[in-house]
Amino acid sequence: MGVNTLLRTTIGTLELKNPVTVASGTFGCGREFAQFFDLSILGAVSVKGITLEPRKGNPPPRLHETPMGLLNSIGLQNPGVEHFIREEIPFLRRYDTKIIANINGNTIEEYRELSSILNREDVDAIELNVSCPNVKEGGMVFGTDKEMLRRAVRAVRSVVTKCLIVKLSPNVTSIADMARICQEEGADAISLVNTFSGMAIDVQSGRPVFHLVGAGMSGPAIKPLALKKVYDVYQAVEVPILGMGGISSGDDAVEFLLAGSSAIAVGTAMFSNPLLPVEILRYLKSFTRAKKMGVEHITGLAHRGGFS
Amino acid sequence: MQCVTSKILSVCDLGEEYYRIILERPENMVFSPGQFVSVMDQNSPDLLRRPFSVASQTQREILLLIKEVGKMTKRLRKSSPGDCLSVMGPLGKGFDTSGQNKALLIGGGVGIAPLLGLSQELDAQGRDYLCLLGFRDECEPAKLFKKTNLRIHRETKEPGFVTDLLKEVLQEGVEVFACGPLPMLKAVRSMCMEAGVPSQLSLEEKMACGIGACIGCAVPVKNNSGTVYKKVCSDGPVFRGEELAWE
Ligand SMILES: Cc1cc2nc3c(=O)[nH]c(=O)nc-3n(C[C@H](O)[C@H](O)[C@H](O)COP(=O)(O)OP(=O)(O)OC[C@H]3O[C@@H](n4cnc5c(N)ncnc54)[C@H](O)[C@@H]3O)c2cc1C
Ligand SMILES: Cc1cc2nc3c(=O)[nH]c(=O)nc-3n(C[C@H](O)[C@H](O)[C@H](O)COP(=O)(O)O)c2cc1C
Ligand code: FES
Repeated sequence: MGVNTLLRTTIGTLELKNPVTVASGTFGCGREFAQFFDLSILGAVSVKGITLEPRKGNPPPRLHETPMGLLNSIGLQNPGVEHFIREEIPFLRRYDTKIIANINGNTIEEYRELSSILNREDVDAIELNVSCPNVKEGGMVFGTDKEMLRRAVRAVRSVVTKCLIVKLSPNVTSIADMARICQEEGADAISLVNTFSGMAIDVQSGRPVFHLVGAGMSGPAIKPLALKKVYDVYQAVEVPILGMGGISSGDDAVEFLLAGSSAIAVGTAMFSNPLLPVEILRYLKSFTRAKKMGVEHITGLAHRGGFS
Repeated sequence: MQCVTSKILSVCDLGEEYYRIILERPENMVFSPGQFVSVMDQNSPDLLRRPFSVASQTQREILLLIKEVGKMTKRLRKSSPGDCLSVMGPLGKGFDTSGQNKALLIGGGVGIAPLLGLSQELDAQGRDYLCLLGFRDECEPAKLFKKTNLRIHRETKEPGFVTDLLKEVLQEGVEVFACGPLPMLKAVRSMCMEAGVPSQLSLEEKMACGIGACIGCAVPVKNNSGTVYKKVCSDGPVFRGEELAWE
């Protein structure tokens, strides 16, 4: 088998030439990173979270570094779906990579309207983000309340014919239960994890660092937690998984595949190493060749006795 | 913009708090005054890079003026010639030096860093300027500046702040450039707005990507419908005083 066939994978109805994608919100719409590498090497790009109307975002501070982790409270700042359609889709279409539109809303109605708009546009998949911890309304409630999640997925599924990925929050008692609900409601794939809910307190002022108190934790510090969530979800559902959370090396990416991911997303770790997706892709090429095994066979192998 | 490895040529203390690092200038990395790099040392235990203004550059070298405040600034101080740093740059939009009027450069503490390169650029243009540099106590880094057209204010020696020097010389027909702690920048901005003098302020905000992708380094800026958040790393770090929507 050629290298290219070894790397091929699918998430639901979305066929990817390789499993390396980038996580929503860490990559903008690709323009900045395009200065460092050719976006066509990526299997897919999940763009910064989109809303129906422009969002102003949260007041600063929005970032706080922790040991090998990052707390963020961006608040979904984005110029709205119209701008995305007019400016960003044509930009990304210049590259040979799939476009995943990450959608966000405050109400079921908003999710439905936004997804039906994007379903008519030239994107390859819709990623329903029900797990943003950084907005006051909506956001994470859809990802942490079973009934709300069911209603959100059902509403969006009823208007989306493209590949529908639901992005789950790790801030739940049983992520497997949430994944089952997504599968029952017809999601094509599941992406996980979004950020863990966390906080920091400024010891000088004695007050929380962030205005909304809580913030989303990402980066290498969450990797073992995220990996376990992927492992658990793989056992619970049939639908494929787009795995992420703290991936910062080729070995991390392989771990996520072994735990059950059909593809992986790189996020926070790209901030210090913008070429990380290129390095991970190179690593996966040699890894699959050395193991004489394609990505599709490596996916979930930790559940089946590993390489032997 | 590039992300490359660069060698440290020298590290030199400038008093207790400050030091300077001279790096090999990566080929084709050219900075205008006010632009910055984000760096990471090898085997860094930190997740994120750290932003530093390019204080000045020559054909072969770039100079960083650094204040030791925490983890990476402590490690960098202990680095030796020959050690390598990963350098991303040039980042941000620097000062607009197309004006003709006399320039007043106001710096507080390590905020004097981007003003060094600016003063060198103004020298090259032959434009008239005056530097007003404020320090709490130690003022070793001011030695990097030309002694002509320089005034230094030390809080431990004289009561008040560097903005008191500005008060003395602020008049119509000048342009102000400033970098320093937030309270200083806010004071400079309101003095300039009152005097009807244009100002360019170089801001700091916590950064993650440093290139405009994560929208983490927000600063409120006025627009026709109220305020919007712009990115310090890529829309700035230099902003016009008038456009900022600070209370
Ligand atoms: C555009 C820009 C240009 C800068 N230019 C210079 C320069 O020329 N010379 C220089 O010495 N410093 C400069 N800084 C500030 C410098 O980035 C911080 O001092 C540095 O990140 C601290 O890293 P650390 O690991 O030593 O500190 P940490 O251990 O991370 O933190 C120590 C303390 O420093 C504070 N801090 C951390 N990051 C920043 C930041 N980005 N801005 C302000 N405070 C921070 C923390 O809140 C904490 O109180 C600049 C910052 C920006 C945004
Ligand atoms: C600055 C920042 C912004 C983010 N914005 C979004 C977003 O808009 N939509 C979304 O679904 N996830 C968002 N995320 C979550 C990431 O896509 C990802 O799920 C999470 O960061 C875990 O991966 P990582 O540790 O590799 O970054 C954001 C994360 C960060 C750090
Ligand atoms: S630090 Fe990421 S946008 Fe400025």
